[in-house]
Amino acid sequence: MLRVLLLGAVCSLLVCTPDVRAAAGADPGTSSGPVHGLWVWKSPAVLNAPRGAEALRDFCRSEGINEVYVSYSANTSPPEETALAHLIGLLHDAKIRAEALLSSTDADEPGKHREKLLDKVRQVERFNQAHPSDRFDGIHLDVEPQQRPENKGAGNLQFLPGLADAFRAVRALAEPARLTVNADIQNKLLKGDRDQRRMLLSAVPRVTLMMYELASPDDGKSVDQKAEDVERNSKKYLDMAYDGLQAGNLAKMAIALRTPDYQALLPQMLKKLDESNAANPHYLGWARHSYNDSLPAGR
Amino acid sequence: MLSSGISSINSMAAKFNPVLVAAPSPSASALATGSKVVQSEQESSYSTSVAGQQYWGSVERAGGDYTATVPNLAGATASGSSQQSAEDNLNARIDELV
Repeated sequence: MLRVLLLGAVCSLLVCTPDVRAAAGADPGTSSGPVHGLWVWKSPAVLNAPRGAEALRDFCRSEGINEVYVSYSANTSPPEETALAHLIGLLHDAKIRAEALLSSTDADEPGKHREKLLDKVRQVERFNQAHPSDRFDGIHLDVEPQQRPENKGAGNLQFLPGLADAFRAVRALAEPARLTVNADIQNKLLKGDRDQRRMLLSAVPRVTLMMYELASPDDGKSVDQKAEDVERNSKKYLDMAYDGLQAGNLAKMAIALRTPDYQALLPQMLKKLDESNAANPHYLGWARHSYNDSLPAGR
Repeated sequence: MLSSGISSINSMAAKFNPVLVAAPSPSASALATGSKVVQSEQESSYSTSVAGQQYWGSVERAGGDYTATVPNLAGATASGSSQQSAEDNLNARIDELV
């Protein structure tokens, strides 16, 4: 009896602990349905709008979003930090996760470029220490070395080992600080051989495939044709990613579509992703690029 | 401080970016209304603020990627899979350069 009472007291304390509130509903895509993510760029400007945080929260609710990737700069000012903490509090109250979106084009290179990315991760950890009740739940990496001229070209994956190293370095910092890690990837990376794909998918627990440019608003295709393209290509890339790899310590994959490709049809296409891939054990959910596209003047 | 009031700046971004309010240029006044200055389907002009300085440049789309550039600042170019990603990367690049 005493043991039960003690357990109850401990549970009550935990419920009241800010960190537990922050982690409430953490990690959708594993236990509470597929991930439905949303990128939010230029977060200071978005949050500086009147009731900007509330508008974002309401948008997430109306569009079925359960995690948000909020751009974060290591040079975030104190007022911007306060606004971010306010947003994260609102999102958590709505059972929506918040990941700090960190971007780079050269963090695959060891040395100062990678250190710069790692410094951003450390800054996110400091943010969480300063705002324990409104902390980020994860790190969302947008590292795009394929954008550099030397990495262009079909089949050119010379940057992959460095990219995997960067992912592992971020993970080594983030996971002890109770931050999940999710990395954006391009379909080019899935065209590597089995060893290259294993290297990528074992470096980070979650990836988000940017499945862009399958369609355009003026391509003349019907809604059904666009949906069929989404279904066929999402299955193709999921198969391509895990082909020949043994299940185990591999990342799960979310698939992202973007507004310029589908405009008002985007929600239908995202729904199609879930319908087509829900049974695939590697499928994590979908992500939507981006909230900024839904704002006036495209911001 | 690296901030990110960016292209097609509207009143929201202008409020966020005191530099833009304090010292608008002719092009900034057009941007401040929220009217994106689109030169073609593949290119648009934009404005960004980094470390309190205002920069004007362009974003081009080619081969599915976006490249943001500030012409009068050597080395100030960055790419991304989306326009927003390219602009975010450019802000970081400018922050390194200045």
